[in-house]
Amino acid sequence: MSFTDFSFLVFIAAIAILCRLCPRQSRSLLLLGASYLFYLTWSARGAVLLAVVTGLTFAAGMGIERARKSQTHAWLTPLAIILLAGYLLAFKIALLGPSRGIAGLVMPLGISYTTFKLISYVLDVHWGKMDASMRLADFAAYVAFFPQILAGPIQRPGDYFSQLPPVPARTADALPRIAWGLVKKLLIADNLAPAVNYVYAHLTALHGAPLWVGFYLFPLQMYADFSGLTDIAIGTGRLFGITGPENFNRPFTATSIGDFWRRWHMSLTNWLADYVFMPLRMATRTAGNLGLAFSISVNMIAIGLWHGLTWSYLAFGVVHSLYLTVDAFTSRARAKFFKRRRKWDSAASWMGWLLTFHLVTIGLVFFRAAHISDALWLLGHLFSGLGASGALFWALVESAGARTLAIGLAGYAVLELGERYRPDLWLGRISQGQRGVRWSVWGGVTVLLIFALALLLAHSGTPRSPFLYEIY
Amino acid sequence: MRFIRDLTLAALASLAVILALEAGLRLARDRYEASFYQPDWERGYALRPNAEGWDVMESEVYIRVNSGGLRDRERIVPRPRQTLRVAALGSSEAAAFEVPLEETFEAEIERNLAPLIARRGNHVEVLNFGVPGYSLSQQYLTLKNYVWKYDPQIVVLVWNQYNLLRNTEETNPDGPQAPFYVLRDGRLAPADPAFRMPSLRTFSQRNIAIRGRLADWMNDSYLLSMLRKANVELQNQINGLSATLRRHFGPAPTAPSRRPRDYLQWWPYLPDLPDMQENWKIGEAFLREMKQDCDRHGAELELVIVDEDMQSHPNAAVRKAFMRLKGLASLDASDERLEQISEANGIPVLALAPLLGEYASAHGVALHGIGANNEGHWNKLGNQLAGQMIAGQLRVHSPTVQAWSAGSR
Amino acid sequence: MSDIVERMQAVFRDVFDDEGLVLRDDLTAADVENWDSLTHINLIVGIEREFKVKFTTAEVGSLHNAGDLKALVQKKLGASG
Repeated sequence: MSFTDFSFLVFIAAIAILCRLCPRQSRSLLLLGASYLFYLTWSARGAVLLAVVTGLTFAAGMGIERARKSQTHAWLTPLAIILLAGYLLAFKIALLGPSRGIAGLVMPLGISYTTFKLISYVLDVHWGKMDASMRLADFAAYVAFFPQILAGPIQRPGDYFSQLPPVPARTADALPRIAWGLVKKLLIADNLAPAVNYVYAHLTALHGAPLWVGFYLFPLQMYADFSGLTDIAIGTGRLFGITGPENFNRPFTATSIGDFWRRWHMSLTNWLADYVFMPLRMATRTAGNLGLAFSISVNMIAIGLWHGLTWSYLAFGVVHSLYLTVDAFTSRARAKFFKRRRKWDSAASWMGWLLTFHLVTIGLVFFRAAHISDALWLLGHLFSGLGASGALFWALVESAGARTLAIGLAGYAVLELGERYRPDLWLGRISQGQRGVRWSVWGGVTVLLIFALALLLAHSGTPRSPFLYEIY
Repeated sequence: MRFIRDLTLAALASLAVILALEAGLRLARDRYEASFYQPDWERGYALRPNAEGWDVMESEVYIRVNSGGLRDRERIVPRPRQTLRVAALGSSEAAAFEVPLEETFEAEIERNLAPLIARRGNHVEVLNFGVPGYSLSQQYLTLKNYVWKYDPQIVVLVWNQYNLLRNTEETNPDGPQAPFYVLRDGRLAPADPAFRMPSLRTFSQRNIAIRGRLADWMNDSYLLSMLRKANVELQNQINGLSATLRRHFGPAPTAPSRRPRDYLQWWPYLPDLPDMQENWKIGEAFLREMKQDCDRHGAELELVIVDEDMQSHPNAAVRKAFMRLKGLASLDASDERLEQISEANGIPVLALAPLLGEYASAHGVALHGIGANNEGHWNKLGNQLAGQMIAGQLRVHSPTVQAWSAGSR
Repeated sequence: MSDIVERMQAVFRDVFDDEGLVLRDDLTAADVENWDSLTHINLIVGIEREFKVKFTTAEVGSLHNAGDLKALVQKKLGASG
């Protein structure tokens, strides 16, 4: 079952109903059962593995807390971290030659997400940020929480446990979030995929115009795809009473690279900031700029390699560590420069935004390309033969469909507007308004929800469904 | 009163959203498959007269069905004077939904033969009786009951090997959508004389007409087409779910399937599969019946064998790899078997695979589908070539065409 | 007491390049423009240098606002004498 399957909707509807019917104390158990049931639809072996690792980490947590309280040497903590990291690394290595994108992270299901949750638990207990004394069922439900297992967000244990026992949100608050996520994934991301895939599949045969299409459309596709999955994850979690952390905050409005990473895949960057960057930086804080550069590089390379152990993901990490290092080293100088030239202020923010957007897009070329040489080809041939690339451009349009480009052009605007005026954010305000307005809004929202559901269904069939059933 | 006002406001708001969605879908050119069919008393289903809309299966083409229920221009029912009529009979290749009407092979045959017989003001018409998904039984019934009123002098049967699968219930890949025929004492007879499409609940002319109008209306709206597709998929999902549940919780099947699931997938390349022998017999019987029908009406029957995707793949390496993978010595075994059957029954036959394959290899082009995979139905080039080749066959082997071109008609 | 606050405020103003910054107990990263995980460590280093104390990673990780930092500094100073 994946997020865009109709059977998934049926599944979460059933769990949501059960959640409301069963007593508050047993809801955690219900979520645990549902999560493992969900996991079983992917792999039984993986479920057993997850259960074992969860149990071992739970036991380690108790041991670590005992060591902390009695102030004895905590050998358990580094052991647990090494074992967990090694476990994740082993699968990543076994996965070499992975399929691209989000799907490549799912084997065993959600191993990146579950292992990161376990590591954060171990470290939080070690640092005394939380107690290890809780029910195993709650802990196991946190680790395996199925809305977050396919594509995150990575929720911290403290955040999760503070919401127990879960109180399901109003369905009307959670459903629009899920619907918006489905629209982003199915209507925008999946429609951009053919054009982007075409460009990256035929790279060495292309130059000029079509490369620009691939260059500018992939960030949009990535954002729509990933943020759509996140919306579904958060909305589904809320149906059961667990609100996950946000992953995206209008990333393409960022005015600097640092700002970008505070808006893109936030749960991952926050995780790495707390568990990798912070300890590293603390350890190297006396080493001045070298320590800073080192910490940034390890952090960003980790982000790159988290997606997969390939050279191009590594290159992605290296590119961004360069960006951030330069950003960090020059931030004081830049601030001083622009303070003295107040007139340049608004121009500076525009330029900053434009520059950041392009830096990010360049970085994403390395992310998407299968090999570094492919990425370099694309970047190197953007301008070559631009005037003569018309025929290639039309070949792309013919193969991917004109619709792709139409959505590409409108997509950025739609996405930004949609995020700014996201339904579940102002729906609450509406419910205090006049009845006429309220009913109109509910009417419109209902139409949109039905549309989203129908869209999901319409896209769920195999390309050549037996048309027998299409008689009327 | 305020209640009415609020209700109206809500209704208007919903309507506004609906219109915005329709506009959005149109702007994005997000098209969904239109409805082209209606139930048919004896054939199971047929094209719905005057239906029109987008076919989006392989490429986006706007399809129009004429008032006679054919995917064709309007055709006058009794044959006009001084007109040579060719009836193209078959399933999806003949219907050619993947290309616009002017680019179908039928139109190509018309263009090709027209100058030949244009002396003395003669015309040639190639009528498209193709309906996607049609089995031989449906094509046979079409010939028997619907073709002759147009009075063609030549009938071209466009034969897709895959359709042989539909000849028996055991091998039929889809649900029951066409009548099955069996051989009784060597003669073709309906398996179930009382066959009616199972999805028909009420069957009155008015009911069909109303639902037809509803379907036409849905075809005009992008939003409604999408909802229609969603409904179809919903049915599929529900059926799929109930099938899965039945598999896990239902009674065990009495006769467990002994074949692997994709046993018949490569059927067109393996004519000697034991499960397909009955299909071959029934197929031959249909061919004979159609020949007799044509003889009765004084028309010529020509058989044209469509090529499978792999037979005309432009890349020889891919073909070789496929043959190695499936352990095949040749991809043409079924065609050769059919050619023998056809000649034994006195029906001129043209196997397109060798010719199309040669062209594809020589020019490195795909004649099926979009892209280089050569998957799917004939594309624009495929239709054009097929049309030229069939026209060439008629010129050389059809006494009728020769008579007309010699001006001695 | 106020001496500590004043010295801390000076460090804050210097690290975040904001002459008008006023140190409150509930001041968090959300309130200050340049305060992120990168500059946070600059702040910690600045505080450590100013008050000649050393923090552990665990202690830094437990800080939620400026008030927590103030309390931590006081604890460190009180412990050392």
